[in-house]
Amino acid sequence: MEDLSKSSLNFFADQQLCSADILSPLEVRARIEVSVINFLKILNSPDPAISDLPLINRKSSNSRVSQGLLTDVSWIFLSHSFCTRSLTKSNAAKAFVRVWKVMETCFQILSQEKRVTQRELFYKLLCDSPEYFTSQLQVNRTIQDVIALLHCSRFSLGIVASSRGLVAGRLMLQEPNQEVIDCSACGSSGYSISGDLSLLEKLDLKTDARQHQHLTHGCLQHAIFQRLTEDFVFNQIPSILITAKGYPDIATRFLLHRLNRAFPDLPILALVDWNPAGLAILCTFKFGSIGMGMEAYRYACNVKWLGLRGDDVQLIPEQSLLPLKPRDLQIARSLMSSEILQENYKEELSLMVHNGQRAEVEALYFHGYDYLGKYIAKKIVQADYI
Amino acid sequence: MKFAGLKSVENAHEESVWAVTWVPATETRPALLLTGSLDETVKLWRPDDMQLERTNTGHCLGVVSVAAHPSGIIAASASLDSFVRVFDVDTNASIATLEASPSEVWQMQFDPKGTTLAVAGGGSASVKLWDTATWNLIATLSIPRPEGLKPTDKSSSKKFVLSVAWSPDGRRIACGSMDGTISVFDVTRAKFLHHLEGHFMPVRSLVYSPVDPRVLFSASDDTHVHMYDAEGKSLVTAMSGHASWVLSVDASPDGAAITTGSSDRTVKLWDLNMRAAMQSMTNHTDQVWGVSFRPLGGRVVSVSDDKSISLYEYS
Repeated sequence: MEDLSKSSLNFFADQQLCSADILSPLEVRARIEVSVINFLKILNSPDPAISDLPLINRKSSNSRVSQGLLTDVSWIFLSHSFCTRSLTKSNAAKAFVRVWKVMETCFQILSQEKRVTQRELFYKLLCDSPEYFTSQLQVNRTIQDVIALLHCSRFSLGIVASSRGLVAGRLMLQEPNQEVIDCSACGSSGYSISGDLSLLEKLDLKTDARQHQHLTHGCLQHAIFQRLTEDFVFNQIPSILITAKGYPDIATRFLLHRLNRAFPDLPILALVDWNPAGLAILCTFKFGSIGMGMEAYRYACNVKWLGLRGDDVQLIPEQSLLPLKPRDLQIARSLMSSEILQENYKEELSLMVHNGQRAEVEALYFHGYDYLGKYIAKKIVQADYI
Repeated sequence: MKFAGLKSVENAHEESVWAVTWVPATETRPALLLTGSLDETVKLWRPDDMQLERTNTGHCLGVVSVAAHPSGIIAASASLDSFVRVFDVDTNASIATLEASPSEVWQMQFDPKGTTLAVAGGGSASVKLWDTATWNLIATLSIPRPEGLKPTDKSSSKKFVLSVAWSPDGRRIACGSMDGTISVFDVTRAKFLHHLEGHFMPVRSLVYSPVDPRVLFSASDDTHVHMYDAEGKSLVTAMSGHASWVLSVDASPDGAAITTGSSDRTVKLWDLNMRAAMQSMTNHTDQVWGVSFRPLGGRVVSVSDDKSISLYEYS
């Protein structure tokens, strides 16, 4: 399975792919040094100029789709189109300086062999250069700019995502030289997925579920995850539950991807709310994203849509159906226009928009607290997922 | 100009409230109030309706000082256990914990740019400067010992530093001591410049004028409020009106007024043109430890030993 997906049966798509390399700290520092030297060279040349920064364009115009042929995994990736950050454009000058400031700070962090979270990086930059950084969002965008400039992954820059995802169920994890952790005995909050990708890479994964037919991984919302974990649903329906507590972060996707590689026979099923945002979360797990397009494609998995879907809406009581918000419609529009979305998903999406309603998975509790477990079991047994 | 009482919160804390500061608005939320109390907690309030946002615990003794970073994103609280805790205002995540020797942490203030935190060093007779990006101690500004005194001479402890203030351009720091002297330092060269004489009793609070980087106001136990030309080393005027120790002073952002809180239980509004007290608010029933103008103007808050917080409109 591993070799099949690595083999370039994607014909020429690979040549268009622009990826962020996963590098050692020394190599990243070298790349930063090269950027500085290039900048100085042009500044020092007989025809001096302040060079622009060429960044890989992170817009949908630069995104491409790789359709899996012999594999069932498709993903979104970014191609080689550039946009530039220039010091000479008046309103973009600060953005230009921000990229250099973040590179400087990452260089220091890597030299000290430390790692920081995006939030910690924000505090440093806020206090160090208050006239350039005022919000976390700016810092996050600038980090993506640096990735697009240096073509190295966020983790290689020394930036760790704070742990957000949780996993529970029939899974035994072992960190190198540590105790084995049984994820079915972790309590209702499960095992917290670390943001440290190198740690996740070294985890030894085992599941005891080979004999059972319908083992699954479930991608869930946090409240549902807690409920199902408390009810030990994974003992009734042998499974592993994962939540990213909202929009999926790289660490959770990385772990899911590893689980997929380790246990290729276990289907991955997603249980999301009946609204465009829920489908968007599913698609991010499935295809990756444009925003982190240079890295995200690596962790695409073949996730199937278990629920909530159009047929389930009849199970939801009237009072739990809420109207779609303008933001939901916006998300729906951009999903519809995406070329990677398969036909049956588009049908479900048009049904959502046509009815103008949304519903949360929690609405199923109307039928009783154990209803959710039964609902999931029935769907799995009937293989009712797309 | 006048004060009009807006709202009061009785029993805001379980014990005396000793410190208050405004947390500037950020892109995602409006300005908030931060109060610190003898009950070892720091509380975050929404100033419009004086609703409690959050209570931070964790200090082991009373909280003597709170300070907010000019960006409004982080803040610091200092307590008698000589720990300074730096935290994210919105999430209460701890960013750093600064430790000092016992009785060496008193008032604190972030510099106007937010790159340095100055902490009045109490018994160490110095002001400690911490870099806010790395949380390393970058400098200790020591008050020079008076001539002819041995290091072990007891009178050096009279330079116990209680209060600290940054000039609006970030180039000067003034600190007030228990013996009434105010010391002015040049920050960039980390050098002591001169003393400002005039008070003979503890100077509990200092504030520079936001419009004139040379003007410094001081509040002292001798019941007077002094206005100094901090560069020219001269006393411009001494204003009297309080019946007891003046515990706190703050300057309005428009530079036209100052407000003071005192152990005579009143909060006074002083007009700087007339150099006299215009108005006296008496809604507190015990010593007023802290007063503060909102950075954008229009509001003033006062906190007191009577455990309450009062909000006024300034116009």
